[in-house]
Amino acid sequence: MSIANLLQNWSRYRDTHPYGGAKPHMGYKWAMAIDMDICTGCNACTVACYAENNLAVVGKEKFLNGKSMHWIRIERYWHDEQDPTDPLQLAAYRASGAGKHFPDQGAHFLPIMCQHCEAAPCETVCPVGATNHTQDGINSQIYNRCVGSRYCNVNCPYKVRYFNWFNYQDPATENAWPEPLNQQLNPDVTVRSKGVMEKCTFCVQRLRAVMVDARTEERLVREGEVQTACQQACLAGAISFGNMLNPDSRVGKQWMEQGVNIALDVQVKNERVGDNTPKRGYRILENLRPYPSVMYLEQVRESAV
Amino acid sequence: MHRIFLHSIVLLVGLFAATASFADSSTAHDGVPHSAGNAAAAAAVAKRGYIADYDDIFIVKGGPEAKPGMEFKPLEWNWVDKLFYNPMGWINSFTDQLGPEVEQPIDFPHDRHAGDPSKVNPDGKTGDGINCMYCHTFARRSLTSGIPPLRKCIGCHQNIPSVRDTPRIVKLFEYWDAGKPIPWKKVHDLPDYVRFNHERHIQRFVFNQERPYKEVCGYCHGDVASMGVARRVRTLSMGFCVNCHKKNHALDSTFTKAGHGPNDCFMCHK
Repeated sequence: MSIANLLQNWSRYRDTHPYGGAKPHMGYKWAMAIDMDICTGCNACTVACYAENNLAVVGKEKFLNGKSMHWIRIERYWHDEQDPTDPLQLAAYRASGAGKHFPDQGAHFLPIMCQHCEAAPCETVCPVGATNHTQDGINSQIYNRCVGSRYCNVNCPYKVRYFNWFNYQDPATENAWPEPLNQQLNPDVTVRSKGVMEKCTFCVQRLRAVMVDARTEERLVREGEVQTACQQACLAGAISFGNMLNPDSRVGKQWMEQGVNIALDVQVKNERVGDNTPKRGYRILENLRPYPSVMYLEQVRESAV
Repeated sequence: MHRIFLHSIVLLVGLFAATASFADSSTAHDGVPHSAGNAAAAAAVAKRGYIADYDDIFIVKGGPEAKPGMEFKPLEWNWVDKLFYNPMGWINSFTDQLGPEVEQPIDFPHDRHAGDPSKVNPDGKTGDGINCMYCHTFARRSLTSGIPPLRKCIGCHQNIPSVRDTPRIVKLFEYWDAGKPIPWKKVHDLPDYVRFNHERHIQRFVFNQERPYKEVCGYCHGDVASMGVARRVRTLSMGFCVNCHKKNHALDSTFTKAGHGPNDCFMCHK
């Protein structure tokens, strides 16, 4: 896009939610909230996701080559004053502690998976329409439609899309699930083959199972009826997931309480909740206006208290 | 008296306005415009077929009214279509419309069990008119329709001594005595990446709309009651599914609301 084109079509540049909140999802809007004050960074959610969604364990070598496969990852950040990437500080840690590479305190953990954006940047660039938005607010990924152009990965600001560089189920080459292990594969989830992109689906197989039951009983899915694998595995209960349009849902209450509006890219933060508690809700990179469906509750730090 | 009359006029006008606006909103909600005001859009839809809208799915309550032309019809091709768009199908229509033949361990006669009791089958016997779901019990409450266990066959056939010595029943009891299940072959095999749900189709069409079960099963399986060993009649391709799912047809039991089945990728693909 040339500069002239950019200036000429500046008025068509979208700076609001694509539906403006005027077109709500019919019945369902699946959303998530993750409390980072509770998260201990134990990685149980990551392991649960591997088990539920037939993810291949790629190993250290492929991981270092950037061919990692994990739909949810724990990003680790350190307190502002401590920078383990600084070689001088790192040398100091190693000198002070007994072979310690990282400080004892000041770690912040950020579980990050597909944010299921309302205006997802990945959807607009897919040349074959393999990823698109469903009516219940999920960013879908259709594996047998995907041709592996990897444009979506390039355009994803969160870098949560993972590409199958190898045929992990092939016993001759990768053999990620050798003979007895293939029995643990989840039959409700496809085992992806080489050359397709994959990502977190909000455990869509579980959602569809309960939605079918609800549909037969002519009602909507109730709160607590469905859990994602990561939510189920979280020991501390940091992850809450549910239908945001359901007034009983925990996740809907959390979004409401924190004043995070899905259709706003800048949240109003100067108000206080209830007994003068500061609001903690935010969404990652919301100023890029993808309008993600995952809200994080920021960690209260010692310096702030 | 005069005042009451005026009041009633105001009320009537108000009611009319309310109903008119309701009708407008209900048609606008649909992807297919019915009113004359949307002639251009209607022409576009007629040209390109039904266009899926953002909130077409999950019309939980409410929706546009069903029109006489909206009844659900299974895929039917006339001879022109067959000649120009599907010449192989047209040629096949002269010979055999059934799909590939699957060799089963026992040649199960569907026509003898589920066939019409008033009709004589090729083997000279009439059907028993048994409901499909007497044997395929899981169809109404599960993703899969289910193959009946051997126990189910024996449960009836141990009380039918008249056919006990026929070759098929002898073979059946051989399996029973050996304590082994019959290795039936799958006829209607969908790819592993598809999540097809029998329950929703049966619940909606048979139990909610009270259509005849043979018609409902026949949408995808054809007239199994007149076949011997079941064979695939429909293509069961994605186009076959979408052909119905994009159509507007009656949604609820009273046939007053219309809509269509779920139409987004993640509903079926996994």
